Amino acid sequence: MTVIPGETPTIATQGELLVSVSGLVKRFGGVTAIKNGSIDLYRGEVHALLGENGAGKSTLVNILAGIVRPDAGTIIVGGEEVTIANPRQSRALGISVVHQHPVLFPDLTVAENIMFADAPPHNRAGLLSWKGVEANALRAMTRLNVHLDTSELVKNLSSAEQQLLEIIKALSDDTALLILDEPTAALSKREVKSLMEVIARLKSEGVAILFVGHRLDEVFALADRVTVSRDGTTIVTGPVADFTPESAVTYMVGRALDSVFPKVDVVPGAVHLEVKGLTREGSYENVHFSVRKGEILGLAGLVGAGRTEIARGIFGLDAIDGGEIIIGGTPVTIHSPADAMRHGVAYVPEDRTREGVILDQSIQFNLSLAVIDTLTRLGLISPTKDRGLSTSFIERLGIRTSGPAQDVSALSGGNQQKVVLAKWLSTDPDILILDDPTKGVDVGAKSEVYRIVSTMAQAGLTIVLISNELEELLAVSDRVITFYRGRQGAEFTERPFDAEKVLASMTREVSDVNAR
Amino acid sequence: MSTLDDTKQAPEELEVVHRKSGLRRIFERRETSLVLVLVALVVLFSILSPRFASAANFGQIVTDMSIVVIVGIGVAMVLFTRNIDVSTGSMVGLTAFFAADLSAKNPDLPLIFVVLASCALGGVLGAINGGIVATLKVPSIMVTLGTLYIYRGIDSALAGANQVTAQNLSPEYNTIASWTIFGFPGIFVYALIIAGIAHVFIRHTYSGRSLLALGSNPLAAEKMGIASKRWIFGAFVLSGVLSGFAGVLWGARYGTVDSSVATGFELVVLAAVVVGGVSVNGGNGSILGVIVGAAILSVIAIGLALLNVSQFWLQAIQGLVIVAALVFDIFIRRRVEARRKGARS
Repeated sequence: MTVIPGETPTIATQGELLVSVSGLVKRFGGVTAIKNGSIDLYRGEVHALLGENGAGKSTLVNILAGIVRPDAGTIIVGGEEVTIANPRQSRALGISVVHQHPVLFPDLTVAENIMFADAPPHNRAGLLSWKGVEANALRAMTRLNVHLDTSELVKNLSSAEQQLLEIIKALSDDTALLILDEPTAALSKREVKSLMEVIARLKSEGVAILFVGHRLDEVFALADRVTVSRDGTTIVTGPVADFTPESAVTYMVGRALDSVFPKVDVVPGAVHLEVKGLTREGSYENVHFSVRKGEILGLAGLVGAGRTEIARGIFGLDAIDGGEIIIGGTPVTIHSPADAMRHGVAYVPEDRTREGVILDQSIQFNLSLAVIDTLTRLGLISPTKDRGLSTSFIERLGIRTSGPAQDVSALSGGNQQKVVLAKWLSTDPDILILDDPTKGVDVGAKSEVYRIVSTMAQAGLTIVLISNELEELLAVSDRVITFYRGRQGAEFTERPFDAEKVLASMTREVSDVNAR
Repeated sequence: MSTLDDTKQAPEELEVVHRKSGLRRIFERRETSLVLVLVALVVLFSILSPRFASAANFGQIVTDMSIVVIVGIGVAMVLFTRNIDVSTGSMVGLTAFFAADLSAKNPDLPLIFVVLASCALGGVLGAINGGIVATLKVPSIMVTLGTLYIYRGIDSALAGANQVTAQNLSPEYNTIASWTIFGFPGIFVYALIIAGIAHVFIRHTYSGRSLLALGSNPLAAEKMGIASKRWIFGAFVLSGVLSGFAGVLWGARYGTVDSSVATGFELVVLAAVVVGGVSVNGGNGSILGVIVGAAILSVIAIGLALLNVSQFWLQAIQGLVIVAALVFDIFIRRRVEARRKGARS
């Protein structure tokens, strides 16, 4: 079935061996990021590297990209052992890397950003040839069949455009190995599709593609072979046919998950949150729904369907133009987050690094932020109470950390998200609005986040859940309402939900979907 | 290794989406609104004071702004890298005394040697700043605040109560800044030449773009393999060298050099550079902006002097006009920005 590293792969590969990495070790201070990393990449294959956050995937990518240097191990490219000392050398070896977070210069133009990935063209006077820079940029863009304005400053591009630019930059005529480090996070369905086409084309030209990710549906649609790493060690490698999503997850987290998204059955109580005719010009209109205590209401829709805006409206972050918010049977006016918090509403925002946590501060600082006035003694902040709050949440939510004093920036994505959750749970809310709470976190952390959410529902909280991962939304919600371009669609009340019908309703591929 | 069919197409034939016209691009440029502010100030002062719009007065303004431009270019280079240099006042002060003293004590020394020695001393002072910032990764604000005092202290120890005056200096030294060509003073010509070179470097060389790039996103610069440390060090050295050159010009222009020369000048330079649109967050700004920024400050200073504003109120009013000019500038930029967004959606 699967091949244990060290043994010879018995599977047929499309091409010759291009890159072979073995016995890789990398330590950062006291932390070992890679204990024993190995991977073989063949020409013309799409190879998926799977693993949870902290499995050492990004470190492996950075080593191949020449950004960090390994402490031990061999890297063989095209039959010769190499040391990759810097990004330029990596590029010269035909390795192109698309980093997870765009590595762009916001104050420079599209053309200049492409220039920095390439050899800069000079004119006879020894100055940059802007014509050459422009021509190179246009040429690079035709490889992907996209056309951005070369003279536009990168800071004016959308995040999807920036991600595309990142891929444009990475590809060159000499690309022999293309590494994509979770490239689809910021892309829309259409853009993912065009990316898949590019990958297919490059593959047919004999380029090896290393696809790093944890979106299993994409991996299974794309990959020829799969390597799973856990805790810095390569666990298995083998053809994709040998894996199922379940077995891949099992390898990634190291234990069989009975269910990745646990669902605890709760008998819902009385209706606690109700919105009637909620409208905000240009964002959403005439939204009606109600949620009971102990119930999880899922809002399904594409990015831009107005779900986040509705959440922001209820929490008082944006003004609403019309409609009513009724909490506990009483109509309330919410003009600001402070109003919302007074009515027991907590909102965990979509973009946790921008709106959720202060990265450069400790867990303790972040957790006490929302409730600092309750942690005082004689009018001053009580260090004991402050610390007590953090310690109790670290324990309750299973935040993996060295202690309350650790900076949030040092935590993994999943643990950062738990800090955000803890911050809002500390306000002791009755209503919890979660906006994409598992964005960018791995399967294990997702599972834990939803376990926490289920516990909250059990405790009688009223929960509104927004997620771009339909699978998760359907697994966790008691009821689902769809949205399409700011309009409310169908309501689905019976579990298990029919994913295709929900999808059809949120994309309006079917004009009238009846509520079931 | 792989040539794609599409890439065979000549790039020139490609259609580019929503390309901007040249005129629109000019209006989107950061400097355009600043030039408008400058023109508005000139018109305002010309109306308020009949003496403002005269050749002699404009000569005064360009002379006044030149040293600010020269030192400002170095400071701008440092700001481009997302660092700051607040030690320029003391670097100018120390080199001014060093150069004047050297020339006064060695009258036979060719002037070019004095200039080079002063620039070299400035370069060493800048290298100390840059070395500490780039290798020890100490925040540049702390390092240069420290050296601001250290360099001034050395200046005081060196100069004591002495001063070098125009009488002690050679005729060449005294006229190095004040010769004219087509009515423009030499000091302004130096500023323009340095600005021209700096502009070409920043706009049209790979190194210049690297300097801006690493300030725009240090992390990305690291991942793209840009030698950030070297550029940061280089920017500080340049700031020192230009301060050293400005030190010579200072003595020539003002005719008296003691240990208090250019005290507080670092803030004037920073004000001009920041008014000129150079971002303190790195990666953004232009040499043209530095010139316009220095011009705006000079026009305000000289314009107010001509209006016979009371000495007691001069500084407060100067500050007020600077703030008003910046508010006006932001107002114009917001309008341009709003239009740009409107055109995009």
